[in-house]
Amino acid sequence: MQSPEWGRWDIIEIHFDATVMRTPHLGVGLGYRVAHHDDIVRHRDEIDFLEVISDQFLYATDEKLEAMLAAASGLPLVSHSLALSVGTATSLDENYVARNADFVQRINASWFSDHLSFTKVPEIDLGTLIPLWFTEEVVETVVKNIMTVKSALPDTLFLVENITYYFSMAKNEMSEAEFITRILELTGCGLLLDLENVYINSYNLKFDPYAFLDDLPLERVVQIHIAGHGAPADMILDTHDHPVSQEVWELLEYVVKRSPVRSILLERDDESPSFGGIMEELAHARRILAMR
Amino acid sequence: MSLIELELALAQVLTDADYLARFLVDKKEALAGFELSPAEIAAITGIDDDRLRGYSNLLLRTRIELGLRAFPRVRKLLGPDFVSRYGAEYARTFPLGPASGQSPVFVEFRSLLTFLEQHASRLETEIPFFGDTLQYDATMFVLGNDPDIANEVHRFERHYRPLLDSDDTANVMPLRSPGTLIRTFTIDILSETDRQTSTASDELSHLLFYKTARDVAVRLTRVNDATKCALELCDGRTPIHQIADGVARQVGLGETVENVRACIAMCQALSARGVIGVRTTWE
Repeated sequence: MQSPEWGRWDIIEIHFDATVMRTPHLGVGLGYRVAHHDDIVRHRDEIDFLEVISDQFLYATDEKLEAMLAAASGLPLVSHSLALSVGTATSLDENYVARNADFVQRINASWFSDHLSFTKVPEIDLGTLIPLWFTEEVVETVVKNIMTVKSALPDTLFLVENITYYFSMAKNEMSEAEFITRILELTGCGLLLDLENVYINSYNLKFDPYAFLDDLPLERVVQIHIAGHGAPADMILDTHDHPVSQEVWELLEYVVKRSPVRSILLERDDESPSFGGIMEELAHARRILAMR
Repeated sequence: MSLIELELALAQVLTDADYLARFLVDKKEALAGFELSPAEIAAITGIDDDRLRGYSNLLLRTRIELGLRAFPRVRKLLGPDFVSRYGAEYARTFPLGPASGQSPVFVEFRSLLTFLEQHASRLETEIPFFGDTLQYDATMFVLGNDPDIANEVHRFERHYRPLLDSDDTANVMPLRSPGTLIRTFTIDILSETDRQTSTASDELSHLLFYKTARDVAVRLTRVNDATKCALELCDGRTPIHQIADGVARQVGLGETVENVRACIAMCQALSARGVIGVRTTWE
């Protein structure tokens, strides 16, 4: 297509998935952990929704699943997995995809999410999130794999999450923000924006987190993760075992004012946190969400 | 199109300490076995060495921590030095393999249990009762997390309803729940708050583990010799009066009516807690 004033137009294919816009606003939620089960039941009225790590239930006993569903007792649930490995340059682990699809349907999850990373190659299951090489070839790989996931769960919105990484590949062809944007555009996925990960990466790899956020398509943010870490040293590790830092609260305010955020989720993984403190953090997140 | 080769190379760098050492000495030589384009070679050789080394260590620590979740008491006894002392040997003995289609926690649990059993005698010299504690944690983990056991418990509870309250106990044949397990320990692990300073006892403790289908948590009970004997006789074929006789002989009492009634009461209590079920001769 030609335009006399502007020269040749570039036509890019954008798969805009209207389900992102139809996605419900769930409010402020908490990550379900077995160690917190009793506290979650006691404070259920102060929690808007629960995020369940599917990996903890893919091979669980029926009792464990039933106990979790009883704790949720009508609260909306979202499913979060750790090992789809959408960056692996081979086909996805069919068993893992199928188990996740079953789980998402069984808990009637409002949406389903995993990370922009690879966790396994055919010979080695690394069991952790490895950063991707930000190139066009990897974009194609990730898009193909995400489309496989979406075909397994055609009626459930899929979100991709930015990860924490402690090293980056050399010779990237694009920035991480450009990489994420390309994936979102080509797949129609929503963004699960982990602000703790953004902050940790900005500290460890020394970049401006606000500039990073400005480069993201914040209109695609469906869910936000917040969490806390221990005292910074040379490196900050993504431990989810401390209260949310002031820096992350400020990033949350920044994003909420610029994006139609539908939900904020607090991740807390230590086994015996102060649950009163957790409830205060949820209340604080709720106040920030109301600024929108 | 050798992206998968790049990912394989990176995975090996991060999970194989010997390969990482070779890689850091001569990267191009180490990568010779992989079919990589010049851009891919540049992508991996350009990664900061210290970060690679640090992340490799973090990965190993994370992996062992995952396995140690199944061993909370052992983890406490081993202390924070375990990974630095044994991590490299563990990684060499049990290198990461492909996705197994099983729970990653169970996979790591089994590897770590085998490794710790292999080293139990050495660890026992540093940590009193290490072997007992290891078996205790392993038992608790399996009872609480193995779907096969839970499914058996579901079937058990569906089929065998407690009938011991009935007046006709003559036809009652108790059987143990599939989730019930008796383990004998040389010390009472539960009562030990500080294992490092604990001392051996001559008395044996019988810890009875059991779980029910309605409760995720593992239950455990400390039992005496008579209860242990009764449970071992609860096989679903022996009538309760014969169990009472066996218990009476075991503990050196006469086969009196009082002793039979005491045994029935014991079985009623165990049944009420889901440790045993009951079937009858007419089933």
